[in-house]
Amino acid sequence: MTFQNLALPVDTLPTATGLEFAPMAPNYPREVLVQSLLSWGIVILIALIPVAVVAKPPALRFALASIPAAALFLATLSTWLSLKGAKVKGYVLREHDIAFRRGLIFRKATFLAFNRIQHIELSQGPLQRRFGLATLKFFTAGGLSVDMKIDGLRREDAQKLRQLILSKIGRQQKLQ
Amino acid sequence: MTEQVAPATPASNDWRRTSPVAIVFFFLSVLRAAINAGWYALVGVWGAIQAGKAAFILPALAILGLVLTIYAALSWLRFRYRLTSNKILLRKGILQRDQVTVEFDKVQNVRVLEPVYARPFGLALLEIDTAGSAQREITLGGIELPLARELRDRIVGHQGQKTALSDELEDTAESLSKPGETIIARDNKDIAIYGLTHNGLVWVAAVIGGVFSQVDDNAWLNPQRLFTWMNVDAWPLWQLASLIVLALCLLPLLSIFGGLWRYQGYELDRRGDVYRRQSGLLSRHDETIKRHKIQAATWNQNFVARWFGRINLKLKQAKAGSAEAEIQGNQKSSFLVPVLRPPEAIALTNELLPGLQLTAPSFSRVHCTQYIKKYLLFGWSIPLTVLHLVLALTVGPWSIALAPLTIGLAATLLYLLWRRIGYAVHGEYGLLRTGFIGSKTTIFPLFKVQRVDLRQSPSQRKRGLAHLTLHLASHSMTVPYISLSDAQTIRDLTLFHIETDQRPWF
Repeated sequence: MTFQNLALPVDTLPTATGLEFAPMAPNYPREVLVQSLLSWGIVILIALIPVAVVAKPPALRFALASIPAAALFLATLSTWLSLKGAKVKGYVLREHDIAFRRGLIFRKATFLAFNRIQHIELSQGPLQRRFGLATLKFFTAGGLSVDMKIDGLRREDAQKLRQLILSKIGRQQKLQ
Repeated sequence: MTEQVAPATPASNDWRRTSPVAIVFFFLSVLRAAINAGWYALVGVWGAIQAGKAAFILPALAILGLVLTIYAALSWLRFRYRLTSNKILLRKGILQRDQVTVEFDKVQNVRVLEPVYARPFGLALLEIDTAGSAQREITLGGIELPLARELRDRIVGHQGQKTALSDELEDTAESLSKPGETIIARDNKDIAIYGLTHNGLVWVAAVIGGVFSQVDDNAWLNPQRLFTWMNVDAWPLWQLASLIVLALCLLPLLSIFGGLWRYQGYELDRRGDVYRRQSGLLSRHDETIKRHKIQAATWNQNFVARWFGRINLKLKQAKAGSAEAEIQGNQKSSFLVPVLRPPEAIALTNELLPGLQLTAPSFSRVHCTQYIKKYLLFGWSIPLTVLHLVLALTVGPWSIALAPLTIGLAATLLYLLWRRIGYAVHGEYGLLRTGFIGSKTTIFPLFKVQRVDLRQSPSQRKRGLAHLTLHLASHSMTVPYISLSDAQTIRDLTLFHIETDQRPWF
């Protein structure tokens, strides 16, 4: 009932189910760990200020100490989750499209055909430069923001990937 | 190609001014900008009246009017344009002088407007939306109607050049020179119905007003008590109530008038693959859309339209791609064919979307209990809790006993929403229906999808369900709690069409 008047039978379609997703760069989890520790470290330092400034009464000091404690708890949880999340991420390059998978609890897979890509952006933050990593952003029409953002690629891989996809887009445009 | 279109344009090497009537256009746009920027100045006016200084207001308004008129006249004086075969050049601005180039290829949308003040002079405004330039919308105010139409045809003819195949292009050039063939016309009665359907909230207000006026003196919702702060408690109650009822009866009338103002004498005609609508009571609107630029068609049927058995068909084009364009341009970027009867809507959709052969579409449904349970638990639990907290604090703690009732009500609403969710694939087209009492059905070519997302929560993974999101250049759609196998098949089918279809999507 769902599928009517199809040009070809559904079971002959090339399927994207059961793809083997390649993991991100081996040192990507470490970069995520450092990134998370650095940003949470700043938050915890700021949270420590009230405790350091207020001398007494002790009851208030004790209450104020709960702020950095809560921050520490959140920091541990968030770092652990992003570390786990970094290991789940993966991408597949197919003949005509690219797929990217992410999400620890809510799994999300995005599929983008090369002939819908408007432009590709390669970016590298200061920390990513230290680790030799890069982020690839893909844009299509209509979307106000980035459509697919693959971080944690080795810089050479990101460059190669961009080159490969750009050449495929170019070939398709010539065909049209 | 432009040579084939009879050039009614005068020698276009020199910079030209628009007609002085355009001063009215500049005046209105600067007035609108002034009101937008300084509506809170009205508070000052009110204060002046209260302080008994009303005498200052008239001279102040006169001075303001004079300043705006001078500004409008200067704007007109500085506004000059030049036409070439493939672009329009503009020079404008009083203090900051801008030169703008509008290339016909980059134009998203062109409209020919004949506002009330320009019609007696046979003049028109040409509104041009562009993509990828700093200036998003450009208006050539006060040019002769034939010139406006010819420019519009030239721009529409040009649009295909980059993307369309060459034979299609020749078709366009040829078809533009032919007179249009009217395929849909709406009479005043139809448009009056459109006026009633296009704003469902009016009816909600009217119903509330009806209930409100029946509340008697002893009820806790005493209007007299409510209006004490407005110093109207001296009025007899019946007078107040009838005033409110009158005002609310006027709303549907206003709605009908609004519909007639914009869509009176609606006509849709076709020239090749170019569709054009003309409508308007005193100000005439004239808008075109090319068939291959349609990203999606939607059938909108709210509860009023459902009652009349009519459908409002909207054709969606690609968004310009900036946040501000999305906010203000949404209304403009969709092309409306109002109050169609269902067979007309189906026939027109089949014509506009090539290869589509809809008769009476049937839809598959999403998982019922999961949809209702999960939205109740994760979406609506917080608002319901807040509602009960407020009730407990204002009415009394006993109101907690109403919880089964409110939860039951929420579940019923979700059931009604679930009942409308339906999806289907017909040949190369995807269909998605949503709605509450009325419905909205979107029909889109699968190959124009830009990106596919598949999302699964842990509980969906256990049950073989998913959220499927398809992103079009015009908007995005999500099918929640769809069976995983259907989601995967739709994804594979969509990717197959995107990757094998060589037609331009834009």
